[in-house]
Amino acid sequence: MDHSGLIALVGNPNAGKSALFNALTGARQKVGNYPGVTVERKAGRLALSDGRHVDIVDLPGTYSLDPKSPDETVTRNVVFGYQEGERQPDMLVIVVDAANLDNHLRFALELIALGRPSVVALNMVDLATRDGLELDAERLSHDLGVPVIPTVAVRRRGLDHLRDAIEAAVPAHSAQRPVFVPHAERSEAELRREAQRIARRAIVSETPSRRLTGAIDKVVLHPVSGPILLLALLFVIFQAVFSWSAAPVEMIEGLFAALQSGVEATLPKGFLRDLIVQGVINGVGSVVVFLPQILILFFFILMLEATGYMTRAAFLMDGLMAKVGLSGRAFIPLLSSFACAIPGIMATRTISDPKDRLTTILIAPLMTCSARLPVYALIIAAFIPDRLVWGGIGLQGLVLFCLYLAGIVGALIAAVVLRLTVTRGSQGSFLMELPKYQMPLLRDVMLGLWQRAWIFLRRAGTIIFVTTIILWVLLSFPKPPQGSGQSIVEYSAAGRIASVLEPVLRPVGFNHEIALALIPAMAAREVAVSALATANAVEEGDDEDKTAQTLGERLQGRWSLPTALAFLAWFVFAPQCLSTIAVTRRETNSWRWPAFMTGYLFVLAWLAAGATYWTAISAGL
Amino acid sequence: MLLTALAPNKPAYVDRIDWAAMSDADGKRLRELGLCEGASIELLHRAGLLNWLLSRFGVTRRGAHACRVGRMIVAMRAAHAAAVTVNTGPVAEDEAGPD
Repeated sequence: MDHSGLIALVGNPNAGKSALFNALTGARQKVGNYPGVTVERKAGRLALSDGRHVDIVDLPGTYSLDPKSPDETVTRNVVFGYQEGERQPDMLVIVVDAANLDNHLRFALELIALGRPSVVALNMVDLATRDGLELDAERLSHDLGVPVIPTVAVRRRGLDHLRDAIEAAVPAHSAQRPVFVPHAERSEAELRREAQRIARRAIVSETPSRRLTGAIDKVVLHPVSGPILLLALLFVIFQAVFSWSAAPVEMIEGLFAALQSGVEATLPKGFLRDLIVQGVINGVGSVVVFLPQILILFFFILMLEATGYMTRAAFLMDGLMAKVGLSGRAFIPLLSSFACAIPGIMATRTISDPKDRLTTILIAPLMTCSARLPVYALIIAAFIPDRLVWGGIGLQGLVLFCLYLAGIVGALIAAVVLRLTVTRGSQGSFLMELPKYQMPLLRDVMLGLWQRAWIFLRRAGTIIFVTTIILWVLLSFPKPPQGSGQSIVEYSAAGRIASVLEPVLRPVGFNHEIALALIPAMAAREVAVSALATANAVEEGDDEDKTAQTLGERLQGRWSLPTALAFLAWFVFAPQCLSTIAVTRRETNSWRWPAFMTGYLFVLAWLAAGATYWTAISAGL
Repeated sequence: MLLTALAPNKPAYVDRIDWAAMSDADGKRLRELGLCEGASIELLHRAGLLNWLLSRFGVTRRGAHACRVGRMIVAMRAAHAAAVTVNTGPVAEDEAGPD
């Protein structure tokens, strides 16, 4: 196969680059990260009609070659050939929004001035027409000096012409170029004036405004209906996360149970079987079971992003975010953190102010992620009576809601304190384009979901796989002497570590078995449930619901209500997730901040558990 | 008048921007979003339920502003909007100049 070169897709945010990338490459995409940063690298391959294949890389959207945030820096570096782990592109496909021509042409002119082979994709011409704009692509091409191809990426219109233009422009052989050394040729104002002149010449006719977007915004951005709509949407999303996931979760549980039975029936009793069944299948299965909830949440997030609503949510939330020293942009990563803090922390890369971004990263683990649910479900079912209060509200549901609320309030307070201390600095700004509304393309949303599912499963198959094996070994060895009557877990290495931790945890009402459960839960919070099950020597059946019920009943007899409540309060704040700590390390490029995050969250967790325990004791519970 | 005082949905154009009132990076980003002297502008929305409620009683508090700048909708905080002086009179000579 002949690889003829690398094409970079580059342009302003909201120009429809990703849709064009998906349309050109289909499902043949590889999603990874650029070395040293968590900026996503999306690459694919395009077959040309002359038999050549070219690689395409979709660069993060930016407004100029003078970056303001980490993802914009990657775009600049790739275009100039500075980016580690990326070849210098052989040609540029510059994507511009036909309806925002004067603004997008300014950056296009900057790119064209680099002198690389370039093609301009005049994208979303259908929406421009909808907004009353008629453009002359030939005139535009003449003025820019490069081919201009009108496209509608989401409807796959103009793609053949774009492919032909790429074929004609891409060099026959990928040449090693010297690293580009930028020099200021034209001032920002000159570029802007030229962009405006060229845009004006290319516009055949226009009507003044975006009618559809304006009409929707009248409701969505209204100070009264806007927040109500946002709250309603969040309510629907969280309802869906829990109600829609029940059936697929059951299916995954059944699959792992069948796998467990299969291995038990095939392998003889012994070390290997225990390792595979108790360690690998049980450990990895307890994490994979959250895949449906994560995908449902991501489905909504991707839909909200694709329609153009997400930036409106950021606009509505900016007032609240500003009060705690953050920007409205922080709302999007924090919303993602309800599924999992890892994509949430990764999404902070669009926040330009470094202090804003760091604060958002440090508080993201306080959003109640789906891994806390099994812990909450177990303790609430065991200790909180299933009865109605205040005219028909379920007490158990109310406690769950309060735990979510405690996380949000805790995050906002933490943000205020952090902004006044360790991330002190000038208040960041909030400058954002609100794109026009679009009907999302289901195919692109599904592709995005598949990519996220794959990233999650790969993590489950690597980090979590290895961690669960280590934990299983720590919980199983050394074995107590035969006939000693001692519990295997108590005698194990993990049991001994728990004895060391116990004096620190006893003041907040935690007993030895909680101390023991907290060690494996360092890998992932939900592991606390299976660790408690092991520590309680419960015979785990195939049905996890049954296991949880048995475990719950046993905990009722062994824990006091204040201890159970303190345990819940602990998990609102505890930073118990190795993957989150690892991604924070990668995102902040130092061990200092993940160490600080882990420390302050542990202190918060201890104080919250203590305050809950002491209050409950003094209240006579 | 300042952009913060502009009535919603009233077309205007940018008369002057106090670039010294903001950081260089923010100023550059605003220009990249099309906000420069001579650009057509229209205030579309002000965010904040509390601000809206207080405004019913004549108390002015300012949240984020969503403005149409050219053909783009740009969101900015009141602090930035307060650095923009607008004019609702006849449009001045376009910055782009003649063809």
